[in-house]
Amino acid sequence: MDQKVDIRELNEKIQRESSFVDLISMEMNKVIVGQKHLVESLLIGLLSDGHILLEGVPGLAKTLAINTLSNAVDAKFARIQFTPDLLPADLLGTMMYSQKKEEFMVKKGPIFTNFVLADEINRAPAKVQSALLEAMQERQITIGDQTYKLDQLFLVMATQNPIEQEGTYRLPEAQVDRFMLKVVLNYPKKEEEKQIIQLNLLKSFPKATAVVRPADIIRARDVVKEVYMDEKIQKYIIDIIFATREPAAHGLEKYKEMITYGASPRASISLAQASKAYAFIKRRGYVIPEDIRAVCHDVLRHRIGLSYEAEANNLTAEEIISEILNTVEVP
Amino acid sequence: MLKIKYPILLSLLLWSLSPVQAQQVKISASLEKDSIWLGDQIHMILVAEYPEGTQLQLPALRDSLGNGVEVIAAAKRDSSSIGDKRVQLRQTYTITAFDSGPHPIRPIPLIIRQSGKADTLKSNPLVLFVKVPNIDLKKGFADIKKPYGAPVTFKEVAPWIIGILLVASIVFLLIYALNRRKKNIPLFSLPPKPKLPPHVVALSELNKLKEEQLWQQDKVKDYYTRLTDIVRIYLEERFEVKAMEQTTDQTLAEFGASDSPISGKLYSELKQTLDTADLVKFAKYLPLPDENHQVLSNAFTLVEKTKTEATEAPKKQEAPEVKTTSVAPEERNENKPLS
Repeated sequence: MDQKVDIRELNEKIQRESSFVDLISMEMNKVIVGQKHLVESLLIGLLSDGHILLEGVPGLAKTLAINTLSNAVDAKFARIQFTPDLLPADLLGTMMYSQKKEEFMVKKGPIFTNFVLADEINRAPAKVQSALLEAMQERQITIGDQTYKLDQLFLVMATQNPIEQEGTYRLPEAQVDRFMLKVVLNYPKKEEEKQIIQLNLLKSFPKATAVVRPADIIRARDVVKEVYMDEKIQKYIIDIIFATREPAAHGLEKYKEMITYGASPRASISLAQASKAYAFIKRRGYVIPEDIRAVCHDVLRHRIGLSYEAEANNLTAEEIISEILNTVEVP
Repeated sequence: MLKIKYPILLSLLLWSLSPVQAQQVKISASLEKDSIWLGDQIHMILVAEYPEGTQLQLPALRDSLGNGVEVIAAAKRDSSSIGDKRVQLRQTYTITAFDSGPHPIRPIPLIIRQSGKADTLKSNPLVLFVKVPNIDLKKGFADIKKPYGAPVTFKEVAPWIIGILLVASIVFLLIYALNRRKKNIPLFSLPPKPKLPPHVVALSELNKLKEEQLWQQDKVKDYYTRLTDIVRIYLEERFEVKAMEQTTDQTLAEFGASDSPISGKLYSELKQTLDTADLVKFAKYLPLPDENHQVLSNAFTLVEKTKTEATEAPKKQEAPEVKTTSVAPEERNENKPLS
């Protein structure tokens, strides 16, 4: 499978098409202090048409980040707070009887938007979770006997609170797998926290202005797909994925009993797509091993099943991925 | 007088003939010992010596020899030639007695057939004395003694020892094989060859790469892949950095500091080599022939200027003690890039 690619031409194209990345980053940095990784992950999700699962304690600017992104992209945004009594119809929409017109009319739900923040997704029961995840996968919603396509630019950012587990419904592994990235947010640094306070004490809180249109993002996605990925890089991805499935065969005998299941083929696809998007953000027309490493933790951390033995030893998926990256040979 | 003399001489001759036959066949019976304790078992041995061709018929001593002496078993008959055309027959009987006192054993009769004639000879009589232990009846009845434990012979335990050794060997071999398999080591392997210093291996590989002329055959990607592998393996062995598992940026981050063994021009050359290789390997970059020469030359310089004579690589912090060579790689014939 020898692709005819002119890297120089592709690089020039990427330089042209990726100019908005800086603009979006600048707009987001006006509003959000720190959380560089979150902003970068949002861009990766946006450019590779993937959804993001966010894990972090409350107050880390998760809502603000996606809201700001929607403002910068000039797109529609909806925030849905997931609660135990939420119904799929509250999310997708329902048929309502109009007395005036004497017929049933479709009332579309909040999911018909560009950016969705599914806040505390694990608080809603399984049927609501599955309704959302189905919409994420199929990009269409059926209400009554009518099927509606979602916007081409459709990004779901779901959040999970890691500290409160009571009264929550844990996302099944098969559904978590549908999120391209799982991003773990940490507290800001001291200097960043100081800037956050100063920003919030201003008379008017800064607001991001629209610097790019959804159509530009759609066009950029096509360019991202063109980013060249050499066979050596593909092999590197496969080696990493297989190391999660057969750790003993890759010199990681100690993790044989720690991993109950490894990453799925969807993980391989996500790793390839996310690394292409990362290379695009870095203004490169080709993927290098650094790109794989940069997105590997976010792509794989929710796709590796840990055994009870691993949990008893306080071993995290994070540590396993780091060890795999330190063991698998770089091309 | 003569009338009386001849019958006497004839009777003397006839008398002397019968002892001749008796002298030809000798029978004797003996006991291992004269006396036994009540119920003890001893051997009675019956030995007959006779000329070859003589037929001898032993009596079938079944259960008893009479007088309270019982026959327990009869061993297999044993005959052997004792020379002078004579044969010795030996028959052993195991006997016992359960009555105290002397037990006379009657002579045992044997039938001899020689030259169509049959005759009966008897062994000597024997006496077996059976002793009874002194029992103090005042002490009353004593418990029945348990059977005596016979001493264990090697023949008896040998199968067990062999079996245990066999099972232990199989278990050991299984554990050994499983351990080797877990560590991905073949079950049987030759002892590892002594490790060559990293610079020797690297220089040899670089020379081989130069001779193969890969990029001249349009195998540019293979050329850069091999070159970076050689450099990364050298860095790994020489400086103990995990270069094979690191990206270019990570490898370069290990060096570059002013106190690092690879700094200044050497660092710039390493960076140029790895960056160009990344472009070739991952971005279909086609470098100019000069660049192909340059990266190989850079690799030679790196190895030459950072090599140590010792087999063991020093720690990263101790690395500054590097033996540098005064001869530039360009001046060395084997390291000259191809023109």
